[in-house]
Amino acid sequence: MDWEAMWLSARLSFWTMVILLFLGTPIAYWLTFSKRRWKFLVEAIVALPLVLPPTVLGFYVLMSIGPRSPVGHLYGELTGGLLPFSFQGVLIASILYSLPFTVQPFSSAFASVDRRLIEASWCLGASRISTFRRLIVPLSAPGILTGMVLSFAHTLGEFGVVLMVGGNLPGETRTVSISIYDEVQSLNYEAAGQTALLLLLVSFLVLAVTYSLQKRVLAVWTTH
Amino acid sequence: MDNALILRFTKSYPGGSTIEADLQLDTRRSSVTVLFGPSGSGKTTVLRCLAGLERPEKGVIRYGDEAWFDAEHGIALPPQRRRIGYLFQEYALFPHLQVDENIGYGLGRESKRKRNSRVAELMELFRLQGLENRYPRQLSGGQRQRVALARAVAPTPRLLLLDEPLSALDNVARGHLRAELRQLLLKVGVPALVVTHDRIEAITLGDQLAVVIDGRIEQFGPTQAVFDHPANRAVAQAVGVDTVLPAEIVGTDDGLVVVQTGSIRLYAVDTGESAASSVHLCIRAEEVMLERHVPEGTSARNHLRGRITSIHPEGPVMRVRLDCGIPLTAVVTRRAHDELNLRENEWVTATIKANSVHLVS
Repeated sequence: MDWEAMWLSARLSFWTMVILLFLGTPIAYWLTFSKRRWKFLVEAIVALPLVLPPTVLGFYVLMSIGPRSPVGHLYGELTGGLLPFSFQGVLIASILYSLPFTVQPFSSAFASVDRRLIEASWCLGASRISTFRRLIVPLSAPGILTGMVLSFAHTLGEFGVVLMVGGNLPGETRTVSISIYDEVQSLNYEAAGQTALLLLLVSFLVLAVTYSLQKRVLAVWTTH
Repeated sequence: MDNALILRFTKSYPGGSTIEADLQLDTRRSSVTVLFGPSGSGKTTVLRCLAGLERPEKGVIRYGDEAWFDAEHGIALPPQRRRIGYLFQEYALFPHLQVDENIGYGLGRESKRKRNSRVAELMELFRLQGLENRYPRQLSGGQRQRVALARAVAPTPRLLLLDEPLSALDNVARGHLRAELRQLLLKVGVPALVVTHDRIEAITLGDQLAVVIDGRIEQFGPTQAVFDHPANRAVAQAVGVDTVLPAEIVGTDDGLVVVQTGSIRLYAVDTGESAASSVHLCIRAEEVMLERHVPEGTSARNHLRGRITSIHPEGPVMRVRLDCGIPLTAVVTRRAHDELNLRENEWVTATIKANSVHLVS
């Protein structure tokens, strides 16, 4: 069992989830409430990782964070380090890769808040930001939870993007799925099987807990 | 006028319908103005434009010397800055907040102590004590309405806008709450604009009546004056199809009120709506049943023999006018009309349940 890889994947998934919570919220809000005509273009871009092969996404991320790219150059100036084949580089790739898994549940949750409740809040003097905080967020709690869990679970299981951007450095970029692939390549089926089973159980548990929470605890506000 | 509310604007929809509002209200007195008209006539749009939830294309909305909307000068105050209270059709209570939190929602800028005392004051005024910690789903229709009204009133708005305030209630509750709503509105002391398509509601709630038909305000004046003297045929059709008659309360009988109009006496259910002895009785044409003979063994209290003066087809139903000593209008289905073989000048019995005779002061 590759505990180091397990721990790395957990950290990667956690930070992806946290950053996506703050990045995905304004994007989802804008996509839900903006009246711009070119909104669909942004929607399509956000959804791209759903259909692109991970290798394609990984390739472009790798190109755009390299030391000669503006992003990579700036990162080098600031930290003296390199983004490709590092944890931070893989984190950036994971955030992009899981973006639709956060934004879509968020924005469908925001959209399902009754328009009249929002208008009632405005008429009571609450600003748009205050309305979002006091009304839309609590009523969207199930959707927000879903988006967070999906981004976590999705990152836990990602393979192609990590391989392209991060390679296979133990403790730095060698995630669970890469570890499993590695074990299989070296015909070490027993170790691969153990790690795979653990990943299966963890993923199932996370999703099962989420869905049961949604049904029993969070649904109380939204039904009726 | 210092505190006049002036609206003069045009709002059109892609479908082709256009709303043209032109109205001036004196808001110094705390009066209730009813925007009355058939469904789809644009009443709610007028209210939403006033609240700032929709933006007209042309025109102005002014409150005193404050411009809420002015198309020419590009002014459009957002709803947050108009200081109005809006009561939505289904009340739009926040489902995740308790009653006291709902009422206090608009008091976010006040100190906690001030907020609590204002909420307590309103809980008492609207008879909601003991319900502080309930969620909206645990309330009855009438309680929800009072919470929504308390919530709208809490931040001391300058104007209250009510969109079909009674339509979310069942029939029984509606009868009780009509009169109560008027009392509450007067107690609150904020000028109110109420949208309704229900005649009885319009008569009960309003001091003044603006009749909206096809997006235009066709007539505006004191409620009774509009009902008595409709300005044109469209208004007459909107307000005058049912039976509205002056009557006197002459006594009570076994919990029922006996009213006299002309030579006719009718039983009505006492809803406590009118303490005065001279009232108006209103009967919806839909609630008048017609029979060939005086029925035996019926629960309905009022039976009037009358002669049919006219029969007009109206889509799937027939509107039958009778002379029973008082003029009375009934609506029956075409099938009923055929089965009863109704003809002009023939005699029939009109049956009206006591709780279909609405008394209005």
